Amino acid sequence: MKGFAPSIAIAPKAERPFPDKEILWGSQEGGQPRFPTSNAAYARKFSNDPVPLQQFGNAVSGAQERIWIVDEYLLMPDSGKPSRRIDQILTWLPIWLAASDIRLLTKPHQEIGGSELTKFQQHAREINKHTARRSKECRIEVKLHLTKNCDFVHDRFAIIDDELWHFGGTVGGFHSKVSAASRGWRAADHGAIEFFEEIWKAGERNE
Amino acid sequence: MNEQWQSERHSKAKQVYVDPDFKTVQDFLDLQSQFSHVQHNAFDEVVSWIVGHDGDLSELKQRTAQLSNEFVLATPDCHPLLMTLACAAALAQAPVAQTWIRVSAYKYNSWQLARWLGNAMMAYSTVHSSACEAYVQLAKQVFSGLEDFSIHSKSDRTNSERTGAWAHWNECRSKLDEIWWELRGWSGFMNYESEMPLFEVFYELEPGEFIETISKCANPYLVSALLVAARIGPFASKFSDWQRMIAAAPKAFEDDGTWNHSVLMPLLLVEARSQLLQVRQNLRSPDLESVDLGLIKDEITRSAKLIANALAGRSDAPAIFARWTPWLMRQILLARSEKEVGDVTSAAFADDTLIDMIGSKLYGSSLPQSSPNDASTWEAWCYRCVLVSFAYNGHIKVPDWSSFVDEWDISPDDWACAKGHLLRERASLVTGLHKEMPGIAANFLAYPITQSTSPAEYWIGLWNNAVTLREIVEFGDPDATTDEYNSRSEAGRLLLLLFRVGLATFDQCAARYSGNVSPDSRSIARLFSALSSANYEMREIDSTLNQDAWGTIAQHLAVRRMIWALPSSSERNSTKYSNVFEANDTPSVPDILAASKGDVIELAGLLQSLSLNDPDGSIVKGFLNSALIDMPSIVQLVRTLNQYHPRKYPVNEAQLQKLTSL
Repeated sequence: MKGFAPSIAIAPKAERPFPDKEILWGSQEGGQPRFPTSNAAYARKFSNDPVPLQQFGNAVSGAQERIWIVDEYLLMPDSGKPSRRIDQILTWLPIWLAASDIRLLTKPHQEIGGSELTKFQQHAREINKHTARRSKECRIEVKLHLTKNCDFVHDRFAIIDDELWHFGGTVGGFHSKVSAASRGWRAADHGAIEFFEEIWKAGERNE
Repeated sequence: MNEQWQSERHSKAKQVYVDPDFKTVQDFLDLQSQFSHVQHNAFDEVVSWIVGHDGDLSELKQRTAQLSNEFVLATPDCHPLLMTLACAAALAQAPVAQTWIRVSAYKYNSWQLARWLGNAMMAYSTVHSSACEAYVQLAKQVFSGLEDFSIHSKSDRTNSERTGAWAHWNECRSKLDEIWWELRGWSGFMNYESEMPLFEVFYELEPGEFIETISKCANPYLVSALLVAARIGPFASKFSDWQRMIAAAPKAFEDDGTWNHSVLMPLLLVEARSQLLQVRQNLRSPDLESVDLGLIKDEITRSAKLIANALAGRSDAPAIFARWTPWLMRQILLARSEKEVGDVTSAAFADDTLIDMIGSKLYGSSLPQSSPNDASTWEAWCYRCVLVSFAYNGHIKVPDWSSFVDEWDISPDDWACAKGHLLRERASLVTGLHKEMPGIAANFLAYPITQSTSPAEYWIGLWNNAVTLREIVEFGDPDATTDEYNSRSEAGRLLLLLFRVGLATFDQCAARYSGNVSPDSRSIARLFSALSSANYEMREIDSTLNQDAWGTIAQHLAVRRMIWALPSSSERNSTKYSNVFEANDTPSVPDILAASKGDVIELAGLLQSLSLNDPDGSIVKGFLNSALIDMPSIVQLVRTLNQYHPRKYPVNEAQLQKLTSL
């Protein structure tokens, strides 16, 4: 291709401080770097309320730009009501949240109706109301086409600002069985942002 | 005329290992030459038994074992060879679907029979000429059975894949897209693997009838599988076979580009692109260090020329080009950057080369000026870009751009109606691209504007006419009942695209301009001023996620304002940039800097980009003085903010050091 015009260099955006790579196992203390003991694993398996990863929740709450999550079962707990799970996720998104681009890509579940999903929009409105001079509106979008238009995704992952999180179980570490997440991957280096945008847009395919 | 795919030459160069477990046609000819009269009779008895009975493999083996005992010569694998030949003879003796089903049942349980049957049939038809016609008739019958699903595979999974794919096809609304997507989700020819020997023989014996038979089929999965039998597709694909098929394939596209649902031609085009893309894979050495980029470029150009030549020989070539090239253009537009399109190891380079080669074969033939009604919404603008690409490379005249302008002329009522939806859908592919500013798509869409008599006024008119879009961004969409944000965001994305087209218009006009102060330069300066105003306005009114992009645009404008007014003594100016701007053109760089004084992070970003384009920093220093900016205090403020909240106010230490030195 003959270039139409000379390309012009623009300074790259400064990178945010980046955490070291780390693996975190689900535990009733909110996550730990070592495998749990079998006793602790049993206790968590039979717990009514497996505690999610605290570090992930903190990372989401502190996000400055984007919170993108891909997980078929993000909103659907192994046991209990989906509304409880949605409420838990909303606790990660405090009303003073700085990030504006929040996208959750999952699949539909019979148990989760439109009224449950509207909680996200109500929450976005509260976030936008909280800061009087917020320059960019907070937008929480939930799309349900993960298993329909892009049924090739097996793993679950999240992109928080520039960081890629990879999960063995439900994003956020809700799973009651022994399961881990790894963090500290640069999303751009691994093509995660482009991949997410592609599967996000797949929902617009009119088939 | 030794024209071949690069993959053909590539595979020839490899040392071929001949597995003695596979039997050739010659092996079966040798076997037949050993038959005595008595043995012929015994062989015929076995053949008659196959034709008349639904037996199991063990019984067939038993019968052929008796027959093989009569052979005194020690022929290796004599027993399975005879069994396979007997099946080939049975198919010739009773060329009906029932015989094929019986033989297929044996084949399903016999490795040798499954792999040797085709060669046995070829050998048998060499000795018995009447078998040729029998095999052709049989293949046609089996084809009909496969087409209407009356002939089943022995594998339930295969049957389910066949019927599932066909059901999906019938439900699919964008069928041509499915073919361009290479029939995603389909396991390929393996679902018809058991029928492959019969169709390989059919193609060898009567290629014309083979092509005619598959040409009438509406099932793309079946046709694509059977193309493998004609050496088109994965494994040993031959250019001569593809070329023969291209010449004989029925018309698939009407003069205006409308697809008549014939699947053969689109499938052949998909195969051509696949061969083109394979070149870079085949020529890549395992260690990417030693890759011969020149060789890859030459081979891609050569393959693209072969494809374009073959297609250009058809009377319906313009219509084929009109429907295929948008798909190729789509891949180019989705590339990360112009640099990627120029990288010979990228798929986008191959697609771009192919489009250019197709353009060179137009010879003034008249192409449709727009996509036909049956085209998917993404096609319309990709086709526009194709026409521009042809025009840019001098193959056709610059396309009429009035319809593009009309598409943007949206009234408040239009936004919620068909016209508004169509604009959003057609632009959707390119509004989602944020990889470069202005980007490949914007440059294509801008090119016809730059060829008009007054590009600046052309774009300013387009922007002014888009007032409805700006009102939606600012005041919202009164017709949106559920997701009002979405309307504002979509309108903002469209305006962002329109702005990028304007910036590309500026870039192209500025790059073309080489004289001193003239009406041309005044027009370009007016365009710049309009772009700056547009950016200021959008930053005020767009509070959606588009806002980041509008913020970065200030840097793009500032850098352009600087480099297209570099002093003549500047080293960079002597090589690339003319003096488009005069000293009193507004906004000046100090004007832009002054407007950002209230946001030190934004100001630092602007200065960093300016510094990047002013290596010795002397020009930027002058701007700082003019805008009354105290650099040390700016740097200090940025550092303080960074210390307060490093994630919210990240800094690039190297860039900040550079600013400190200003």
